[in-house]
Amino acid sequence: MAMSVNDDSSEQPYCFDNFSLQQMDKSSYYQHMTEHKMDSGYLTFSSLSSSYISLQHFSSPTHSLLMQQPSDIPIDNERDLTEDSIQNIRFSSHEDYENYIKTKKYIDIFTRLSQHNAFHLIDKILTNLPVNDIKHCLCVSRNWYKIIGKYYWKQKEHKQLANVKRNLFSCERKSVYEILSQQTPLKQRRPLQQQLQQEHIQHHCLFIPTPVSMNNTTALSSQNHPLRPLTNLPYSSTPAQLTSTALTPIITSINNDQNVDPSNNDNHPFSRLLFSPSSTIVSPRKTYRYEYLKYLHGPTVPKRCPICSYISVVDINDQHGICSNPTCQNNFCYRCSGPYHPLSPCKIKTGPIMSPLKKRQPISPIFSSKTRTNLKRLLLR
Amino acid sequence: MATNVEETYLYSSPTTFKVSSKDGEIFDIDDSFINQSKTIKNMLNVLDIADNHMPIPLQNIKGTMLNAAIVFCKYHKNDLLSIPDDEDEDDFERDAYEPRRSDDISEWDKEFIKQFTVEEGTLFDIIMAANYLDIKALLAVGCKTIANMVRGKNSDQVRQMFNISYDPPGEGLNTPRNSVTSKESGDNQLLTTQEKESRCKTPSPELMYD
Repeated sequence: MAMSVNDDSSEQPYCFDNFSLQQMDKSSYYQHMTEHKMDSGYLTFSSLSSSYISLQHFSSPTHSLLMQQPSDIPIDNERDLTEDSIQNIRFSSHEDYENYIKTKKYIDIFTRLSQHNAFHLIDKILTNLPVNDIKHCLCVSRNWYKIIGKYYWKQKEHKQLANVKRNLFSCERKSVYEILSQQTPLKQRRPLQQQLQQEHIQHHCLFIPTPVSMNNTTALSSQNHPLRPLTNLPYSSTPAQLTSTALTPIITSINNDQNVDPSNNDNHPFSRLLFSPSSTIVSPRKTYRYEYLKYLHGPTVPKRCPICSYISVVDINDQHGICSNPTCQNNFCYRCSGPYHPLSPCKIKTGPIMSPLKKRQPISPIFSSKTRTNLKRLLLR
Repeated sequence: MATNVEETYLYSSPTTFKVSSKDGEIFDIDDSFINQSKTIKNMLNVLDIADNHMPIPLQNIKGTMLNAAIVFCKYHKNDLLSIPDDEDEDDFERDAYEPRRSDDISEWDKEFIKQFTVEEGTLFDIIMAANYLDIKALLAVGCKTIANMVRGKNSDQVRQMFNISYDPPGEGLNTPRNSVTSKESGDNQLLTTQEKESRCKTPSPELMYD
C-alpha cells in the first residue's frame, strides 16, 4: 500500500478506494512487477523499507497510531500529510483496514510456514540456531511466541539437565579409603579414631581398614571353622561387599580369637563392630542400589524394567531408569522403553510398558454399587 | 518386473521430459533434475509416460521458481552423490539440541540465493518449492540462509527486517481506530449483524496469498 506513489502515478494511476485493489486487474499488476524484479505472485511491494511498529510505542499505546511513519499508510496524492489528515485517512472504516492488512508487505516467514502446516521446515531452521537467538525470536511477536515457544522450552530443559548429568558422570568414583585418606576431618576426632583402630587391631583384629587385615583373620579362623570356605569370596574381593550372611563366621572367628588372646574378655566384640567408622557391612544388592542412586538425581519412582519386568528405579525429571536386578542392570528410557539416551529425544515410538496389575477388571454394570445407587435414585423420583 | 524395466529405461538413457508450472510455462528436464527431486522420480516410476511431448503438471510451483530449481540442479549435478544424509541417522548419543553449522553454504549458492529476497516473499516460495520437489540440498540452503539472517540480532532488529508488528492484526495496538468509527456510529447501528461480522472478521490467510 505504501508503494512509491509518485512513480506509479505517471504510468498507471492507482486509486486507493476501498475496493480498488480487489478490483484491480492482475495482468496489469504482473506486468508492472516483472519490470523490477522476480515475481512472487503476491501483493508485495519492493520500495518499502520501514518498520511497522518500533519498540518506542509500547510505552504509550495512545500515541502509537499517531507516531507511525506515513509511508505505511495508504495515501492519496490530494491530501496533505498533516497529523489530522493521517488520522482521518487511516482506518476510516473496517474495509479500509482490511485492505491495509491485505496489501501490507507480508514477509513473516514462521507464521506462513505454520499456516501451511510445514512444521518440519521450522524445525530445520531452528536446529541451526543457538538458544540465545531463539530467545530473541520469541520476543518478536505473539504469533512467533506460540510457534517457537515449544522448541525453546524443550531445549532449555534439556540443556539444564544435561549440565547436571555431565557433572555427575564426570566426577570420578573413589573407594571409601581413598576418600578418607584425602579428607581432613576435624582435628579432635582424628587421634581418637586412630587410637580406636590401634586398639582394635591389637585386641581382636576385627576392625578392617584394608582387605589385607581381613585376609589375616580369615587365615586364622579358616583352620577351625567349617563354614569358612563358603564365605571366602566376598572378603577377598572388596571390603565394601561384605555380606550380612558373613557376619556369623566373623563372630565365631572372634570367639576363636578370644581363645587365642584371653586377656581381653570384658568387651563384647559385636559392639565394637558397630562402631567401626569406615567399613560398612551391607548386602551386595543394597550396595548396587546405592551406587546407582548416585547417578539419578532428584525424586525417583519405582517402575518396571522393560526387559526383565523387575522393579527398577526411574528418575522423574529425566525418565532415566536403572533396573535393580543385578543380573540385568539395564539403563533404559522410561518414555520410549528403549536404551537410555541422555541428550537426544526419543526416537522409538513404543510407549512405557505398564504393569499388568494396573488393568482394571471389567465389572458387570448390574452388580456394581454405583449403578445400584443410581437406579435407586431414579426409581424414587 | 515392470518397475525394473522402467528404472533401467530412465537411468540408462538420457531422456528429457516436459514440465508445466502453475502459470502454464513449460520447461525441459534433464536427468540431473530427476535424480535430485524424489517426487518427480516417484511420479515417473509410477506413471507410464511414454510420450515426452505431454508436459507433467506441477500445480503448486510457479514458473520462476521451477526455472530456478532447474538451474540449481544443473549446477549440483555431481555434488549430491557425495553428500550423505546426516538427518536420517538414528544416533541416540548425538546431541540433537546442539546447534548445527550453518556456514557450510558455498559461494555459488550464496550468489544463487541473493536473487530471492525476504521482502518479496520469493525466499519463502523457493523453500516451499524445494519441499514439494524434495530437493534436499536446496532446502538446506534456504533454511540456513534464514537462520543466518536471524542469527545475532535483537528482537527489534528482526522485527524491522521481517516487517512484523508485535500484536497480530486486529488485536492490541493494531485494532482499527474507534474514534473515527464513533462518528459513523449511526451508520453502524443500522447494519445487520451479519454485515458487522463480515466487516470485523480478520482476513483469512488464503486471501493474503492469492
